[in-house]
This record gives sequence, structure tokens and C-alpha cells, in this order.
Amino acid sequence: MNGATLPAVMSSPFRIADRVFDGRLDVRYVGPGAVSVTETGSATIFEFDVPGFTADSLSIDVEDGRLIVAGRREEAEGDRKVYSERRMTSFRRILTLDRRLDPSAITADLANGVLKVTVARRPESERRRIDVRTAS
Amino acid sequence: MHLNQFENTLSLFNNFVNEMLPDVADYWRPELSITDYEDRFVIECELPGVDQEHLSLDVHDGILEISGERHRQELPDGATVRVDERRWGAFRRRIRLDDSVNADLIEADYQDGILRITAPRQKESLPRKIEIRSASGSAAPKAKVVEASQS
Repeated sequence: MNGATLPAVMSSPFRIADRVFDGRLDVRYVGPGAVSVTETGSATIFEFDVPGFTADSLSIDVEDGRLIVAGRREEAEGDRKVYSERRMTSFRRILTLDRRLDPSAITADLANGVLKVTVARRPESERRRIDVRTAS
Repeated sequence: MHLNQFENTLSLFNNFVNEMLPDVADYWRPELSITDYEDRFVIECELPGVDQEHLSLDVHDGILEISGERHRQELPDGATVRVDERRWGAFRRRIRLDDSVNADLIEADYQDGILRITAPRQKESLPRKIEIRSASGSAAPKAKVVEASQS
């Protein structure tokens, strides 16, 4: 759809593990779970498009430094559906968190079909000099 | 508006509702589904994170048009977008309504990022059972005969 987004992904410290590159340059994830990742000075914000998903139908887990966001939504009575382009009733995205982020400091908000997950950055660790001792 | 956009009509089902293919690539197309509940159609369109003031729904010449713009929130100072898979900017979908839909009674609401449009069918176009009357008008006397045989 838009090949221009790809270089940004490649240069990003956030590896989207479930993204499938099949050799085409215009490969882009479309559908529930599409994400944008924004870095601010104090946090990284992950915003997922989740139209039709309620808070109960979404889950957010952190495992081995990865953020796993999944959802499942109810579908309207299938046999009455006469036309549909809506892609999935469930999705699962796995994103590798930068080591500078603190997985224990995560907040999440859902509004108008957008799930906003904020992961705070770890406080800068102070530089410490270690003395080298000599065997006297 | 080009003439050929009217030739690009994709028939969805029995010509009740037809989807118009877009004539301009500057729009993105939010995904939608159509459900038939006999007395009404329900169109659900995926529009996460759209402000209601930037969302409009119009009916003109038998065409239902969903349009608007999805704006990105202003970035805080020093913020950088690292990955972006979401779609921004102007969007549009057009659906041709058949005469069976009562355009005056179309209703819509926006919740959880879904625009849900209810389009009732005209009463005349609903399937209904038609009573077959006999020419002699003998229905009432016939009922009386049944009653008599039961007693």
C-alpha cells in the first residue's frame, strides 16, 4: 500500500517479530492490530488500531522483553453477513521492547477503537567508574 | 468526478447494495461489512480513532457516502515516530443503495471505533405472505362448518 513506511521500520530499534517480509516492498500489516510506535524522551508509546474490540477482549503481556498484544472480537451473526472486507476477528502482535524501557512501568488506555500502551523508559543509570586494583 | 466511476459498480448481492470503487487514490478505504436482517441492513465500517467532527455520512442520488479525515495527534516536542502501520488522512467509501432501502430512515452511531449504519428496508419491499382469497368469498362459512363438526 505504501512502501515509504518500510525504511522507517528497518531502521527502528523496535523489531516487529510477527511481520512477514515476503520479498515484496509494499508489504504492510493491515487490519486490527496495526500499530504505530512513537518515542518521546521519557517513554515509548505503542498505538494499536483495534476497532470493535472492547477492553475485555484485549490482552497485554510482557514476556522475555517482548510486548504481546492480542485480541478477539465477537462477530455479528455470520450467516446474515452478506458482504465483508473486515479482516480478522482475532489478532496477535509481538514487539521486541528496547532494553532502555522498563517493562514493569506499562499503562494502557482504550478509546474509540485505539489501544494506547505506554512503556516508560528506565531512569538513566549513573555512570560508575571502577577502580583497577593492582596486585602489589 | 468521472463518468467511469459509475461503470465500476461491483455488485454485492442481488443489487440491493452496490459498492462504488474509488475513483481517486488519494483516499484510503476503511473496511466494511454488510449484514442483512431482513427488515434492515447494517453496515459496519472500521474507523478507529476518528473524531466525530471529522466524520460525515451523506445520502445523495441513492448513494450513501462515508467520508472524513483521520488526523494524527500532535506529537510532543522531541518525539519521533519509529513505526507507522496505521492509515491517516482522508478516507471515503460509497455504497449505492437500492430502492428497497428507505434512505430517510438511515441512522448511524460511532462506538469503539466502528461506524454502525442502520438502513431500514421500505415496508413494501419486505417479504410478506399474500393471502389468497377465493372469488366467491366463502372463507367465513367454511370455518363455520369445521366448528359444527367438532361439537
